[in-house]
Amino acid sequence: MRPLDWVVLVCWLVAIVSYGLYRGRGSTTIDNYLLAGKTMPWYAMGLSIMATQASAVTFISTTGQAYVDGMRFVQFYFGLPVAMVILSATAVPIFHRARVYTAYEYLEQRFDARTRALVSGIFLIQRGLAAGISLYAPAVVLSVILGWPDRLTTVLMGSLVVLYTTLGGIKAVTWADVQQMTVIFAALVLALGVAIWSLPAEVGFHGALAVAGAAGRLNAVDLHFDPNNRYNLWSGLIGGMFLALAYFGTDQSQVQRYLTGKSIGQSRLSLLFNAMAKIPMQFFILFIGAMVFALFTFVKPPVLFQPVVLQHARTQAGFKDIEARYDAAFEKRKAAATALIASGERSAYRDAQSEFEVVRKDAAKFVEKQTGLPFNDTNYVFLSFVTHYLPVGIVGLVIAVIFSAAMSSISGEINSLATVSVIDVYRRYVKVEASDRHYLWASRLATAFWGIYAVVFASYGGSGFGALIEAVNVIGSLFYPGMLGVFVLAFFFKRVGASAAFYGVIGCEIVIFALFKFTSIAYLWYNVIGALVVIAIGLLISLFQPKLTQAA
Amino acid sequence: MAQAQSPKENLKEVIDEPPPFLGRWTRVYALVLVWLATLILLFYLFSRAFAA
Repeated sequence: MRPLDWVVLVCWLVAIVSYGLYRGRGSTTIDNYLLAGKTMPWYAMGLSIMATQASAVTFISTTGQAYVDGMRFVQFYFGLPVAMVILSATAVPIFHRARVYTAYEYLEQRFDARTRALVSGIFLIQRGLAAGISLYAPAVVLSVILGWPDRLTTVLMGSLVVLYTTLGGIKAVTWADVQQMTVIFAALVLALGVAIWSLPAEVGFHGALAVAGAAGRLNAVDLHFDPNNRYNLWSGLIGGMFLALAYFGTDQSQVQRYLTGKSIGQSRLSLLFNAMAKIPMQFFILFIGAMVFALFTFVKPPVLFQPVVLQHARTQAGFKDIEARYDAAFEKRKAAATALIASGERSAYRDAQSEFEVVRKDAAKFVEKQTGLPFNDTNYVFLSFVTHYLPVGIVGLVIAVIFSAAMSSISGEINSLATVSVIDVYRRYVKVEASDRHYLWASRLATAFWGIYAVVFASYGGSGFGALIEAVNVIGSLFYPGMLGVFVLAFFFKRVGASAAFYGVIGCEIVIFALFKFTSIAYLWYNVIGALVVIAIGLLISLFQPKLTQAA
Repeated sequence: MAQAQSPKENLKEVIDEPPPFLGRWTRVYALVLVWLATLILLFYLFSRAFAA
């Protein structure tokens, strides 16, 4: 980072906060604060949905994933457009007509208070844990790149988000997201351009495609069905559709975005915009990773992309031997890649690529042996490229983009957590009758609380966070199926009542936890199985105890 | 526990208008699904062209 990069970064952060506060002014009623007075146009909601979903880690790790594993991850999103169509036809008009602030409020209208409390409680636990992680994970990556303590990056990002989210409410969140997504798109295009432009003249774009393709980095579609493989066409279409239904249809951090629409049509368009734009965007991000792979085939990358770990490893006995083997493997692969471009000879290149990967794995094992912890530097691949190859000023812009991606996800999370806390808990059970102004201030305080909680949680998570991130991801995939199932019952099974829905969720969670404990089924399938279990239990109870199933 | 009174009277009327193009929402949904099928086909051809 050079002085111009710092100027760009600081100006960008000031601009985000100022713009968010400017657009969020006038949020002086609870409707304005939580639902933007239902005035949002489709493009603002659409970009905000996209920004909330694309966290910094998603953004950094997606490019890294293409570098190490190819582009097959894009299949994960194939079910998303189908889910968006289903939600546009069902959830959007239902939520709008129910005139709710939260998705869970609708569950009380449809079933009873107990089901609403159960599902909103699940959301608060799941999203509350995730909020700390959303802040901590990019803060650690940025702290390594900037050379700052991770608590400083955590507090900096957290306090900026808390400032504009607390003061401006959802209007500030949404318009800041629009601004952030615009710059994210611009930075992605620049990054791809630089990756291709940095290739040696004799390689060129066609050579890069040949090299990346021969190494399996351009395999985007796999037609082979395997329930234990999370990335193939079928798991993407079916599992991905159910995951997207759960995420966009039941998670308040997403539902709240499209509830701000000025009409049902505007909300539908925001989802359908995502349906059409999301897959090309993910393909584009993955393609950047594949082009970085091609570039690093001809320009030697570090043996390990995590700079602090690499620096430490170099002080340890035995690592020099690995680096010497790495240098030799790199030169061999480079020669084989040059031959591949010249003559189309693939087998020698593939052998050289396998040998290169073995040395990289040995380097990772060396670190794991030294630290006793699992090591994975996928998240540092793109940042290594950014800091070494992008021109001055653009590096600052890309780092700003990573800050933006993190902040847009966190702002959406704390905003939705505050909304559920106030609407589904405080206004429902603590202070049932109060003025609009009272609930507005309760919402502001709840937003500040969840923001500060996320900062404190992230700041004091410490080294145990590695395992915690994994645990939180698992918890998310375990709870979504029950949430999806109960909304499917609510929308499509009019004869199923409150008790059937409640016990359906409980039964579903038991089944999903058992699947997680005793099988190796890929988590994308949990939503499919879970939703079916809720429906089956709901229908069974309705059949045998019709009196119990009367809606409250 | 009593149901909280919602300040939803402040919210505007719920409007359900036709889409700005193609006339009916079902046609817009069909367009999205055709777009998805096209993308999958293009990505498949892309994968085949550069297959490892």
